[in-house]
Amino acid sequence: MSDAGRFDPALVAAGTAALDAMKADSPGLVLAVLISDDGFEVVRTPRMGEQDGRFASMASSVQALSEAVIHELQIGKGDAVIIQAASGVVIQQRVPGRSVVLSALFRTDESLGRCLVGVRNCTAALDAAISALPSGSSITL
Amino acid sequence: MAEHVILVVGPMGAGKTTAISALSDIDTIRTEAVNTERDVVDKATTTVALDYGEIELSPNEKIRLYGVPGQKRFDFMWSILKQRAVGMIVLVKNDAEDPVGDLVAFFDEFREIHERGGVVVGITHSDLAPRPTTYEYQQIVAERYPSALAPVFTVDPRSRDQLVVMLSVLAANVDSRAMFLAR
Ligand SMILES: Nc1nc2c(ncn2[C@@H]2O[C@H](COP(=O)(O)OP(=O)(O)O)[C@@H](O)[C@H]2O)c(=O)[nH]1
Ligand SMILES: [Mg+2]
Repeated sequence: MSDAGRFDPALVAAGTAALDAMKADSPGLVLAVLISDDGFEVVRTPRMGEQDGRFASMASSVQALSEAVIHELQIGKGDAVIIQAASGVVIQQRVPGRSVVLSALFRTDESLGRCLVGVRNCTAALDAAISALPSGSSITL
Repeated sequence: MAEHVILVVGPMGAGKTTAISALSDIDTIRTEAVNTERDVVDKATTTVALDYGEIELSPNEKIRLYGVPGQKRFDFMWSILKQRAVGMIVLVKNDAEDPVGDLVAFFDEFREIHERGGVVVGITHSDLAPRPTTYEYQQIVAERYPSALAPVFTVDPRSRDQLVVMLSVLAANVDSRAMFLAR
């Protein structure tokens, strides 16, 4: 199930371009999903794969819990969420000030630093693309 | 001091987050996200992981309150939060499309909690939709979940006083059940 139909086609197009660019730059990228704050998938790369929406929902819960911890500990503005496992690393980052979040799964042969740079570049590109959309102001926090 | 973990469950928009904020003695932990389903429930934000609050019902009874997301797509959070709870408040939004169906769905989904602990039902938004009545809900609960012995209240989740009554009844039920099971 893809939820793309519920989102502005211009946002979906911008998301597709940004995710494809990240994929081209990051050989270790397995999966990247752009999700709405409330856990719906806007777009993913690669396009196929499991699409029951479960990962998008979990990513939104993880993001919200991480931001709750940041708020609780008063440790300033949130940056990235990192989930490191034996055979994969998930990195999440909110598009700055926006109600969309990027969640990306990398293989462990990609260095963590490179993964973080890839995610940061992608969210920056998304922010610029969303700013240029007529609907951009509605995709804010 | 006795400590109980109580879940607040029910569909999106029933008033779970509102209830936990109204009840809690501490600043609640919230995980609100921008709601993109305004066509389903027209509110600005929705809970995507949990709500957390605490209340001391009496000097020797502390309740830890966890609210769940109402949408089925977050049922992995339901599984996580279910594990430690000894009781639950089921909030039913009376002006929803199928409030009785919602009640049944959450009773079924969280069956293990009302089987080992206690449950109360709070009917919200009855100022906007007076029916079904509490009597109708009582009948359904008695028919389908006779061993749950679930009291049914009309409650406004914005009213701390109303919530405290309901929560106190639940806490007493949980204690009675525990005593009964220990015999
Ligand atoms: N009129 C009316 N509004 C209510 C009642 N209970 C809750 N609300 C409102 O309904 C909304 C419930 O939202 P929320 O607490 O986020 O619901 P949740 O999804 O169950 O967490 C809030 O805007 C409340 O102020 C009620 O009994 N009557
Ligand atoms: Mg809520």
